[in-house]
Amino acid sequence: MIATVWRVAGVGFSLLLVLIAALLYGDSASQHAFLNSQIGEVTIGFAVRTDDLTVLLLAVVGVVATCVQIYSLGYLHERAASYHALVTLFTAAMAAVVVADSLFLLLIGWEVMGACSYLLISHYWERREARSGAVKAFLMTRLADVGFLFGIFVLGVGAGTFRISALDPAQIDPGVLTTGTLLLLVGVVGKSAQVPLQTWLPDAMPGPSPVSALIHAATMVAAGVFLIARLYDVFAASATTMTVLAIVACVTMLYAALCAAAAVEVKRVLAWSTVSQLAIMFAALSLGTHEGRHAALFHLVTHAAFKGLLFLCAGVLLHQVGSAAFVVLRRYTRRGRLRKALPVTFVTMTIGLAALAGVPGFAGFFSKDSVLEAAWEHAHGGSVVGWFVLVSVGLTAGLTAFYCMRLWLWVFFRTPALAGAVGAFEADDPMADLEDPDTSKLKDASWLMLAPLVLLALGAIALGYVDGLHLNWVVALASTVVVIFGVLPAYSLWSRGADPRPVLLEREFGVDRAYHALFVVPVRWLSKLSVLGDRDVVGAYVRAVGRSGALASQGFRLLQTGNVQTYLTAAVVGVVALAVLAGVIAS
Amino acid sequence: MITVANDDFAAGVLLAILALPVLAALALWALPVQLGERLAALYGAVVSGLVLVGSLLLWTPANGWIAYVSGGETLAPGEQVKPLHGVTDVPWIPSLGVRFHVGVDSISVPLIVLTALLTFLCCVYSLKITPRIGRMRSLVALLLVIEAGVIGAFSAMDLVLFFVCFEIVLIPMWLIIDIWGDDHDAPGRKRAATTFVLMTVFGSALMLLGFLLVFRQAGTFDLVQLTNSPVLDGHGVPLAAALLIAVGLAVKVPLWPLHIWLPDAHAKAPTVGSVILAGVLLKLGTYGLIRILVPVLPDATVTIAPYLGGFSTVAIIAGSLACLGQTDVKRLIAYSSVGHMGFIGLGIATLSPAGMKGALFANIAHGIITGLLFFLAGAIKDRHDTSDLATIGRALYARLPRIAALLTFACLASLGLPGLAGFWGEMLVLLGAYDPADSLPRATYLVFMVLAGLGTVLTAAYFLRLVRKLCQGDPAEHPAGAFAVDLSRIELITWTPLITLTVLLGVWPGLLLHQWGSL
Repeated sequence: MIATVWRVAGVGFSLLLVLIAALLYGDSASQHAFLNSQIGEVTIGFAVRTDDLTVLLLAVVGVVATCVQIYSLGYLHERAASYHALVTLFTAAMAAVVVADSLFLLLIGWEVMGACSYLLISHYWERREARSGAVKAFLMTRLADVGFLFGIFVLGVGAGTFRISALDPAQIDPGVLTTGTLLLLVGVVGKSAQVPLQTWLPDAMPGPSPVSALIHAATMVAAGVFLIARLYDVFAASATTMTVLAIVACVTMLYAALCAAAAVEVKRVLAWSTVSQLAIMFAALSLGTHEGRHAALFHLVTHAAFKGLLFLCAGVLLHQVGSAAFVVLRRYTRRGRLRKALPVTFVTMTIGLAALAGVPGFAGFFSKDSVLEAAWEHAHGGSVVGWFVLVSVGLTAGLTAFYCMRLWLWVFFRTPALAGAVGAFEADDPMADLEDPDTSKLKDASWLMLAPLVLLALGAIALGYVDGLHLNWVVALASTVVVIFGVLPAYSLWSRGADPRPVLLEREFGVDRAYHALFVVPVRWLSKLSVLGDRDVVGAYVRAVGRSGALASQGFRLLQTGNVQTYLTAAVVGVVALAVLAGVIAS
Repeated sequence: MITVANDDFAAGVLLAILALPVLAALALWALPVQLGERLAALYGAVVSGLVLVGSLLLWTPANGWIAYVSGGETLAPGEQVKPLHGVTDVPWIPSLGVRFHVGVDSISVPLIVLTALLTFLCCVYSLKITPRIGRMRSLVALLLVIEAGVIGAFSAMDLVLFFVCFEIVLIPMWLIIDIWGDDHDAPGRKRAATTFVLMTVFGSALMLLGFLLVFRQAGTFDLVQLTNSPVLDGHGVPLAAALLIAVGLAVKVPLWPLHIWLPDAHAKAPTVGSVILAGVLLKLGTYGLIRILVPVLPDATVTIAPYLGGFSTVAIIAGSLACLGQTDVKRLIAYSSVGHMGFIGLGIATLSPAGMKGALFANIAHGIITGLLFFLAGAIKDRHDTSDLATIGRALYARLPRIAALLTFACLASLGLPGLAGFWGEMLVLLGAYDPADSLPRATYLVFMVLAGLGTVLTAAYFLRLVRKLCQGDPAEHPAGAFAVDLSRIELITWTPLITLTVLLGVWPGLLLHQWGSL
């Protein structure tokens, strides 16, 4: 009963967002402030605004949320009430971020999203990896959010206002501007899982797949991109911040693409790929040009469609097969059953992967090319950052094509070389040599789940054309060649039945282990030290005082002889002594 | 403008809510034992409900107290020097110049309402859920005496009166821990009660010495006079007085390293005792700092503020680290108070409008949220007959879904999630530390701000650890106990106001912040 109410409320609320976006479309930009309090010289309160960016993001959030809510009706059967309630709360928080004109309203939405993400990752709280992944996600983003909060202080106090529309970079001291934007960038890096705070996103994958589609692909992690686009004037005014952003983005996109190329679980590949694609958006933003911002937002929209689609497809695999690990999927693929049993999923996932890889004609191709084009133009203007971005995005495009092809072939096609053997992934699972699983009952998911896939698949093609076709043929040709260079090695390896994974990539460069040794272990030691310190040092003083009190009282007990003469003598001596003392002080 | 007639009414209400709990407690003790035992909780609920209504009547949109500026800055033109209302001012001990001077303003009223609310909820909770030992008549009577004492301290405008009310509270609290405390650990609860009472008495003795020094300098105990013509000069006797008062109140706050009485006292106290102790009694210390130390000894406060801020910052970090190592749910929540009160101390130490308002806001928010947390911890403890994390076991989401969900909610609120009450106080404190009063060293406070910011991450870490250890886990390994009853009706009724206020203050902080408009 309660679950039904929340299901209806969830779908209804996300449809409402779509409706609001449609109604606001074309409206002139406006702001509205409410519930403000004056504190000293600054005002703390709330404000909302509407403009093109708001409408665009509201539409994205609304559509993806609707797809996810409907998909979840078929996907999720246990604890549905809390699940749908949290997804709805999350959607509301994201909407708050999008419409916020007050930095505090933005912060509220920003952190409530983080809390919802935490609660939804740990939806399957009986699983160990879900519990630890959730805690990790929350703590890493929370750490970044401290920087974000300080960034708000620096900018807000520096500009004398916490209203986004009133922040004017020309009015702010350049040093303050750079400090403030760099601190905001810390929050953005945490939320969007960029280097060096990237490790939480792949570990967030034990959450339900629709949640990964909504939160960890389409909306929350893209909130960082939105934020920089929202405050673009402020960010662009600080060259230092933009350079830092470019370096972070370029390192992240290559790092994450390499990790994705070695991951052996569909959702983990997709998670690293999300990190990498977000970095492409940041790279576009870091150009500091109008075209860069446009390209970043274009890529945000297409990415929301095709990556949401891919995560939902992975969800179908999890739901129908029971696992999204390569080694398990291979067992179903040995006879080529997976492709035939799940035709809709196969087709839509193929479209999603093609869009992600940047195959010409699909949405990802156009949006990635607009990033390349913006970088190309910027580089021509003599900018080092432009070249840097251009080369990194080009390399990443090749790697992306490689891991997309690898994923597609290994999941859906039997390997000619190994004639159906599990092959390259058996080391991951000692059970791999078991009999073929019973595939006769394997069938595609219900239409409740497939309908959102079809809708998003259409989006993953059509969204490429909404921006109008204006291709730079040189860039388009070059990027196509890069894609082919990425695809060919994947095909060649697969046809030989090999999947070499360097240890360094498999361990994701050892970052996780280093963080554990550098941060988690010392904090544990400090916490032990603190408990012991309270018990044995601070507590010891208190106990010592107590004990000396007890000793003193024993001493005084000796004096209490009950002999009146002793008391009287002591009293007289005392009075005399006091009189002498008083005389001495007075003189 | 408050008319005279109106103010007479307010004065009457204030005197009534001061006298009613004491008289009611005496009447309860006068009742025959059996009748008293049976009716005690209901009687307490009615009396404290009346006090709550009375305290709400005092809530008028008044102006702030007076400008909390350091040095001899004058008030802005048009600002009232004495926006007190409900004032009663009669001689009490004429030979010492001590007067019975009470009154309320926008700083004390929210705290008085919080006190009345928590006492009322504790009495309502006791209608159904009582400590195993029984003796409800005395428990309710002692709660009412505490309520009167705390309201007295929050409305006292005379240093000696403040001190007396401050002391009145101690003995009943001591008895509550000693008699109704943890019934599995009699020596432990006696030790906890003794440590509590001895350390607090020691603190208030220092505070009284400070008051005497103030009296020597200024010739009066009257807070209104002292605030309007404060004891200037940051050296010598005023500095000594400020130190004594600050250390004395710091025991109560409690500020690291004087916090050692707190974990034991909270962990061993019965549920209602913990709620009152954390929700109300700790606020006496921070209230004293704001009401007495800052306005009466402004120059000396500037001298000691960086040290106060430093100890508060250490409290935030050390308290959070200690929480990470706790194995007992009530002790963990108790230690979390050390960190949260550290934020309040830091806010006061900034001496800036944002920091002060943050401290005041965090005072109220901490009372509400930690009250809720202790109610929840008590509920979990009652159901499992232990508060040890390992013995309770995991997977409360499966065994007690509603209580576990509420615990998660309260943890999120307590770790300062924006959108819930815990956030605004800490945010304003950090903002205050970013931009402290001009007379303070800014670089020092920036360091405090960064450390306190990291403290919020540690806070999140230990609350998530609590949720993970207690709520999540494999239900197969931790099957439901025989007496695992989920949320009962009385619990729902008692906790609903706290949950509502947590959300309401989170989305509309202006509700309180407006109160301190001209502060």
